[in-house]
Amino acid sequence: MNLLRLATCLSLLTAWPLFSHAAPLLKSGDRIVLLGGTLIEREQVEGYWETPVILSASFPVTWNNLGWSGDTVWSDSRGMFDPPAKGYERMLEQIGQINPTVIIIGYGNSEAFNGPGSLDAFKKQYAKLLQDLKGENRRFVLLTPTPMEASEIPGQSPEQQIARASHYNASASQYADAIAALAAETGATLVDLSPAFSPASGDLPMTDNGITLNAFGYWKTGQLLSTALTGSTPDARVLPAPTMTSVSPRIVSEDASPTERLRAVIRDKNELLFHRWRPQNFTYLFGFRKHEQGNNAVEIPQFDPLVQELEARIQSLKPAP
Amino acid sequence: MLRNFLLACFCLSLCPVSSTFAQRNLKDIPLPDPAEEQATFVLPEGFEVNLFAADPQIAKPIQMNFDARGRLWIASSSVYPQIEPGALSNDRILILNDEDGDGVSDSTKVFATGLLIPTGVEPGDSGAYVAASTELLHFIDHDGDDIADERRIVLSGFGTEDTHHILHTLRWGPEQRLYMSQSIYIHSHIETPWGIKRLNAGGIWQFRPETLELDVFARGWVNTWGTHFNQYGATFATDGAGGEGINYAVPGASYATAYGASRILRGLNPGSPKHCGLEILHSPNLPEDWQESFITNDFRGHRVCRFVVEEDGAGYTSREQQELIKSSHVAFRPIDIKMGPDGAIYIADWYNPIIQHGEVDFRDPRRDHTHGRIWRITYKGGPIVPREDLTKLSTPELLARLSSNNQWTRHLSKRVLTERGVAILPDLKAWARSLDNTAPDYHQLRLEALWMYLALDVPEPELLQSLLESKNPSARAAACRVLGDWLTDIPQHLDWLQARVHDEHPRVRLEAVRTLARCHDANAVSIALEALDHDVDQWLDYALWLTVRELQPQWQPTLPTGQLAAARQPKHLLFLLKSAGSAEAVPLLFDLLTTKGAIDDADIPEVLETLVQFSRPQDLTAMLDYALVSGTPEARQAQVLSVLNATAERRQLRPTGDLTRCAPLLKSASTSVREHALRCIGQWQLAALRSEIDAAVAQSDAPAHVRLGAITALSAFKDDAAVQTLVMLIGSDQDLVTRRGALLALLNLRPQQAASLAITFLNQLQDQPQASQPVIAAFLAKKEGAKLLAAALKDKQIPKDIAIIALRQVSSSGQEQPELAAAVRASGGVSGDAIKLSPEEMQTYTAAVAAQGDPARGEQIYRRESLNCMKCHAIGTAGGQVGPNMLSLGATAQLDYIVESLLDPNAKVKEGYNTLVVATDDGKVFSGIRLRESDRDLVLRDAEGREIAIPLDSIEGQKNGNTLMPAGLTASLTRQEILDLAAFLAALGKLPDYTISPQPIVRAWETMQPTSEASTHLRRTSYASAATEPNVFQWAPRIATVKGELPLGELPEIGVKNRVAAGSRGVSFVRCQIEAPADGKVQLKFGDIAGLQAWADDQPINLAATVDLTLSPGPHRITIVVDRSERNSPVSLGL
Repeated sequence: MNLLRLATCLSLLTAWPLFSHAAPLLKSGDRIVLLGGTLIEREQVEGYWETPVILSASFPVTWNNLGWSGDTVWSDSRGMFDPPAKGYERMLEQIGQINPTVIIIGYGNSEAFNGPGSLDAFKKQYAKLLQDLKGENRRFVLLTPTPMEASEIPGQSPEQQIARASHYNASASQYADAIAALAAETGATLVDLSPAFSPASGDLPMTDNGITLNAFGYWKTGQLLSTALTGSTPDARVLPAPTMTSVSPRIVSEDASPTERLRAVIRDKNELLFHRWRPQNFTYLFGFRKHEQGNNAVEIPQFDPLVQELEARIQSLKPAP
Repeated sequence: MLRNFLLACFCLSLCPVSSTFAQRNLKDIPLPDPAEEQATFVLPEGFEVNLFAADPQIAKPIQMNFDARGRLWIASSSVYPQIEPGALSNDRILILNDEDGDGVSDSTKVFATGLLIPTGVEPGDSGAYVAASTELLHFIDHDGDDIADERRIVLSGFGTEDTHHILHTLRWGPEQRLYMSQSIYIHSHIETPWGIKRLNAGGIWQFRPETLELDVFARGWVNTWGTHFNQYGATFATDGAGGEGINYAVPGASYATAYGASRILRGLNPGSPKHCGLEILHSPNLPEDWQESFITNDFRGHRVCRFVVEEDGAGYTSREQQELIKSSHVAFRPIDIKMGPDGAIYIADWYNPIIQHGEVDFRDPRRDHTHGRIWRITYKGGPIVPREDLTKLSTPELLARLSSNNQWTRHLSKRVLTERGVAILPDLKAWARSLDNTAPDYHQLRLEALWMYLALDVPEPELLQSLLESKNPSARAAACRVLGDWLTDIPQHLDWLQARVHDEHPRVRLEAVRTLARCHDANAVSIALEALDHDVDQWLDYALWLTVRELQPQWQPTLPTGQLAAARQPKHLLFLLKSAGSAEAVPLLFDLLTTKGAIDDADIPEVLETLVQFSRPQDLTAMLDYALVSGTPEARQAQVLSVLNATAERRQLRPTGDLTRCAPLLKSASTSVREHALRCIGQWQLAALRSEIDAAVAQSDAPAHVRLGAITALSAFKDDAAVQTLVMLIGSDQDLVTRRGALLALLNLRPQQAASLAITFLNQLQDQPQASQPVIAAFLAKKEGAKLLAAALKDKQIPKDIAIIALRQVSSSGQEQPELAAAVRASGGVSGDAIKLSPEEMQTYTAAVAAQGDPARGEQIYRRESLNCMKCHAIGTAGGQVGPNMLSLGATAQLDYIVESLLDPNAKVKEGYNTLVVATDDGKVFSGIRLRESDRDLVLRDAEGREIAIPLDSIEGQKNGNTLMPAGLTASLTRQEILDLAAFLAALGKLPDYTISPQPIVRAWETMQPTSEASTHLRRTSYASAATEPNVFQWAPRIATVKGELPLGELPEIGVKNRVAAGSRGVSFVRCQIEAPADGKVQLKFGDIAGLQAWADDQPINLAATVDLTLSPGPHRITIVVDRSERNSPVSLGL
C-alpha cells in the first residue's frame, strides 16, 4: 500500500513542478468565498481548511462555502431545472450578494475525467469564469485538482489501482498546469495541493475512495492553504490531525480543547450557511412551484442572523495569539 | 353527511384553535389512538393485524428494512418537510427488536441521530446505509452496542429540490447491489473514482459499495417509492405519483417523465392511484394463492393493495385483487411494506392527516410530526417462522437457507454470505455442485449460486454458461443480465448472447438484447437485430430500439463501409435506421422505400419522418428525381413530396438543381401529388411557377386540401399580390374552409389586417360556432396574435357562443391573455372570471357542500359534455390524460381545496400540471404540459391531449404558465350545481359508490353516433353490421360512471325505419375493446342481459349473465346493441 502511494507521489513530483506564494494574502475583514466541485463542497463537513485559517489570521474574516458536488467551470451541477448556463448566472448572482474580497476556486477534478482532449475548452471557460467574477480589490486563489490516490481506490487489484490512478493523474496534471498558467496570467495566487500527497510516516490515507478527500486529507491540505492565505499554519499541537478518516462526531465533549470547540462552531455555521444558500425544497420555495409554497421562503433569510451569531462566536472562541 | 358536519363543528368548538386553523376544513382530524385506527382496518377473510410498534417509541417512519438478526431498522424524520431556522436536524435511525418473537417490538434503540430528513435505511456492512439529504451515508457500529460509532460519506451530490423526492427506497438486489431511487425534481451530480455520475429527474440507481461503481438502472417515473425483484431477478417498481400501478423495469429503459427520453415504457396498471413501497410475498405463513403476490400501498386512499403479476410475452401483466387492508381512517398512511423474519407482513404507517408539502403549507398546524406505527399482518393458523439470528450460522447452514420459502431468510442469508467475502467460495462451490438436479427449485438455486459469485465479483463462466442453457427460461433471462457484468472475463460473450437472441422465450431474448447494448462492438447490434426474426412484442421492440440507440457510436461508422451485417437484411436495416437515424443512413433507407414490398405500410410514417430529420441536399435531389421518373407510383410521389416540403419548412433544406423541373407534377391525376407539389413550390419560392399557383388558388372546384395547399404556397411568396388575393378570398362567397384558410395564411403576412378581417369572419359563423376554433387557435399560436385580436375586437360584437368557445380556448392554452379574454367577454357579452373566496366565504361554501351537495347529481354534472371534465380528467383508467386523475381525490384532498380548484383553478396546481409556454424562432407559441425532453425535441401535451414535439434548437424562450383547467369553467353552472359537483368530487375514493373497485370492469366505451347514414345503413343491413362493418359508422368515446356503468340516458338513440315500431323507442350501440391473455380465456360479466345483443369482433355472443369465451390472444372488440324499448337499466361489462 505504501509502495502504491509512493508510486502516486513520484508520478506527481515529476509531473507537477508547481509552487505557491509565501506572502500572506488575507486582510482584516476579508469575506472569503469558496467555489468549486466536490473538493470544495465536502470541505465544510469538517472545517479543516477554515479552522487553521481562522486560527492563523490575527484578524476576523468570514468564510462562505459555495461548493457543489460534481461541479465544473461551466456550473454543470448548478442548473437544477434549468440548463447549466442558468445555474452559472445564479452562481454569479449569489457571489455578487456576498460581495467577497477573496475567492478560492477549486475546479478541475471533475473536468480531468474528460481527459486532455477537453483541456482547451476548460482553460477558456476557466478564464471566462475569472473574468466574470472580477471585482474591485478582489483577490483570487486557484487550487490545483487533487490527484487520485491509487491505494485507496476500492475493490481493485494493485495493478488496476495503479493503472486507474496513473490514467487520471496524467490528465489531472495537465489541468493543474493549465490552472497554474491562468494564475500566472491573471495575477491570482496558486495553491498547489499535491505536496500534501507525499505521505510522512504515520500519515493516514488522504482520501476515502481514491478521489474524495477525507478528514485527514482536508487537515493536511488545510496546512498548505493556511500558509498561502495567512503566511502560517497552526502547530499540530493546537490543531492535531484527526485520528480517524471518517466524519468526526458533532457533539464536542466538555473537556475538548478550545480549538476543537472552535471547529465545532465552524461546522455548525457551515450547516446553517448550507440551509441558507442551497435550501431543500428549492422547487417550492423559489422554483416553478413557488406559487404554492413560496410563502415559506420568508424563512430562508431567517438563517442570516443565526449565521452571524455563530460568526461572532467563532471570533470569540479564537484563542488569543 | 350533515351529521358528520355537525359533529365536526362540535369537536372544533372544544379545541382551542387558532384563526388559521379555523380557516381550513378540519372536521376529520382523529384522535391518534392506535386502537381507534386499528378498528377501521378491513382485511380479507382469515387475516389479522396487530400493532408491532407505535409512538412514542417511533415517529414518522419513512423507510424500513430488516437485518440478518431479524431486527427492523427505521428511517424516521420529524423535521420533514423543511428544517426551521434555529431548529436542529435531529432525525434518527431506529432499531426495533421483537426479542421474544411474539410479534410485538420489545425494544427501540437509537442507532444514529443528528440527521436531516433521512429517507432511506438499509442495514449492511456492520451498520447501515442511510440516505439523508445530499448524501448516502454509511454508519458503522464497531462495538456491537447498536449505536453507530463511525459515519462515512459514501456518495454526495444528490439533489434536494423536494424533500419527498430525495434519495430513497434503498434495497439490496438479488446480486447484492444496492438499489436506490430519486424522484422527478431531483438533479444529482456525484463524483466517484469512475467519473462523475449525473441523473436529472427520476430514476433507479444501482450501486456497488465495494467498488463505488454507480449506474442508472432505469430512468423516469415521478416517485419510484418501491423497487423489487421476483425470484429470478426480474425488476419491478411502483410510483408514488405516476398512476400506472406495477411497473416492469427493463434494464436501462425510460418510463414516464424520464429526462431526455424520446420513447418510454408504461406501467402495467394504467389508471391506478399513487403507490408507495413494493413487496413480493413469499412466506410459509401465507396461503398458497397469496404467494408471489405484489403488495403496495395506496397511501392516499388508506389502502394496502394486492396485485397478481403474470408473465406475458417478454413482459408481464398485472391484475389488482382485493385489498390487504382498507381503512377509512384519514391519518392511516401506509408507506412501506416488508416481509418480516417471522413470515408476517409489516407495514410502516407514517400516520398523518396531511400527506405532503406541495399542496399543503409546510407549517400547516394539522401536519403531524410525532406519530407513527408499524402494523403486522399474519394469516390466522398459518405457521410463524421461528426467530433465527442468521449471523450466527455457519456458511453451509446459510447456503442451505437459500432454498427457504421465507423471503427474509433467503434474502438476508445472501447478505451475510456476501459480507463474509471470498472465504465462502469453497463452501459455495461445494453447495452449487451438490444441488439435486431433480428438485423443482434446482435452476433457481443455481441462479442464487451465480448471484453469489457476482456479489463476490468472482466470474464463474462455467456455471453461467450452464444457466444460459438451463431448462428454465427465467433462469436463462437472469443469466443474460449477469453476463453483462463479466464481458471482459468471457471473450466468447457475443456467441453466447447470439444463441439467446434466438431463445424460444421472449423475455430471454429481451435480456440478451439489453446485455448486447453493453458490448461496445458493431457486431453486437447486428446480433441484437436478429431478434426481429422472431415475434416482437412491445417490450422487446422497446429493448431493441434502446440497444440500437445505445450502440450507435459503434455501428454508425460501419454503415458506409458495408461491413455491417444488419445492413444486408432489409427488415433489420429498417429497424436500425428508424430507431436511430443518421445522415449516412438516408440513402439506404430511401432505397428501401423505393423497393417494392421492402417496407410495410404501417412503417411508412416513421420512415418518412426519419427522412425529414436526416436528409442532406443530395438526398433530397435524389428524392425529387425519383418523384419525376415515370412509373413511380402516385402514393410514393406524394410521400416523397411531403418529405421535401417538411424538410424545407423545418430544416430549410432543398434539393439542388433547377427545381422548376417539378412542374409536370402539378398535372398529376392524384390530388395528393398536386397538393404536395404546390406546397413544395411555395416552400422553394419558385417564381417561375407562380402563375400555376395562382391558377390553383382560383380553381374553386378543386378538393379542399389541394386548395389549401395552393393558398399556403401563395402566402409563402409574401408579396402584395399574394396579400391582395388572400384578402379577396376572405371576403368572397367561397366555401368556409377556403375563406378560413386564406385568413390564416394572411395572419402570417399581415397580422393586423387579418385580425380585423377575422372579426367579420367570426360574425359569419353564427350557425357553426365550432368552426371558429382554428381561427382563435391560430391567433393564440402567433406571437402578439392575441393582442392584435383583442385590439380588433374593441367596440365590436361577436356571437356569444363563439365568445364562450374562444374563452375556453384562451384558458386551455395555458397562456395568460387577460386582454384578449376581456375583449372576448365584452364583445360576446360573457362573464366568467375565477371566483376568489374569502376564508369566511369558503367556510360557508364548504359547509353548504356538506349540507346540500348531492354526489349523484354531481356525477351527472361531471359527465356533461359541455363542461368537458372527462375530456381532461380520468377517474381510474378511463378519461383524459391532460389533468390529474380524480381517482381518490375525495380521500386525499380537503373540501376547501376541491372548492377552490373548481372556482379558481390557478390557485393551487397539482404537481406536473402547470403549463409550459414555449416560443420558437419562427414566431410560434406552444403551450401544454411538459411530457418529456429528448436531445432533439421538447414534447408537450396540449389541452386536447395531443403530444406536440418542438425541436429544441428552434426554442427561443420558455416560461411557466397557468394550469390548462379553464378559469370560469363553472360560470355556466348554478350555485346548486357547483355544490353537487364538489360533493361528487369529495366523495371520490371515499364513499363506496364513488370508489373505483379493483374488480376489472370496462370503463372506456364508444357509442354509435345518430347520423342519418347510420339509420339508413342499419335499415338496409342488420344490427350486426355495427359489429361486422364498424367503419361504416361514426363512434364517439363515452366513459363509464365511477361504478362502471353507462347510463342509458346518455346514449344516443338511433331510430331505424321498419325496424322500430311506431311508438316504441330506438336502439343504442356501444362497443369496447378487451384484451385476451396468452391462453385466450376471457370471461365477460354482462349481469342483467335484458334488451341486449352482443358480438365479439364479428361473431355473435350467446348471451348470459356471465359468458366464457376463448379468443386469440390480443385485443378484441365487443359490440353491444341496447333495445331502448326493453331496457332502462344502465349497461356494464365486468371482466
